[in-house]
Amino acid sequence: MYRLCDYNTDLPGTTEGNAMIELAVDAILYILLLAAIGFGWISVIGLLLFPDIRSRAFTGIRAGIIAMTLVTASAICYGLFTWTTNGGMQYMVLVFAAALMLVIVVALNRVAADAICRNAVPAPSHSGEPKDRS
Amino acid sequence: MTLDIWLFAAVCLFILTFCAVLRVIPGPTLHDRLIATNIAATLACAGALALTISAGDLIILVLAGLLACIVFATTIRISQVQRRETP
Repeated sequence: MYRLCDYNTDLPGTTEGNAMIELAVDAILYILLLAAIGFGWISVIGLLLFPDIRSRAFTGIRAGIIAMTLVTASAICYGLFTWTTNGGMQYMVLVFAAALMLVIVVALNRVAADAICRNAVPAPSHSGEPKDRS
Repeated sequence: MTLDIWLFAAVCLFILTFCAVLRVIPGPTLHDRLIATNIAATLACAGALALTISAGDLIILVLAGLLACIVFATTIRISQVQRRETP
């Protein structure tokens, strides 16, 4: 018998560490999560190495959003697969919560990055004098 | 020994979050600190999502979402206030 999610419901297969996930789904989850770690690494490296705030914001926030998207995609894959095999509403709640969190984080990230970059330094003007081609 | 990939991903993402938080402290300008705060919040949300599945408890995801909303709202507000105070 599966219970409805009440925030204290354990997701089966997580307490023992012996989740019986099929090999293909397992491989997809491994690839997505490792790629998410890689993009998170790129995000931090971009934050540490790049010289000005625009390149830092562009690389760091984009790579961070990609990492978040990959983790969300792996969580949705896990939730949908386990829901189809085991059933239980907690997996659908997990899928919806993960998708909602991704939407919130991406939207707020865009708004915050726009606000910060607009206030930090004025955007470079592209309407300057034309280059001398001679 | 079985490697729990969700726990591994959560630990790695939290380590990267810590690195971004370390970038917040010596930020040369306020905007650098705000950008680093945004990136740290994003990576922390990703780590919290992985930790939610590893621990099997959805309250972690809810708390992380609330904290992320607070952090992003604070970041936007600080940026607006700083813009208003700049002549």
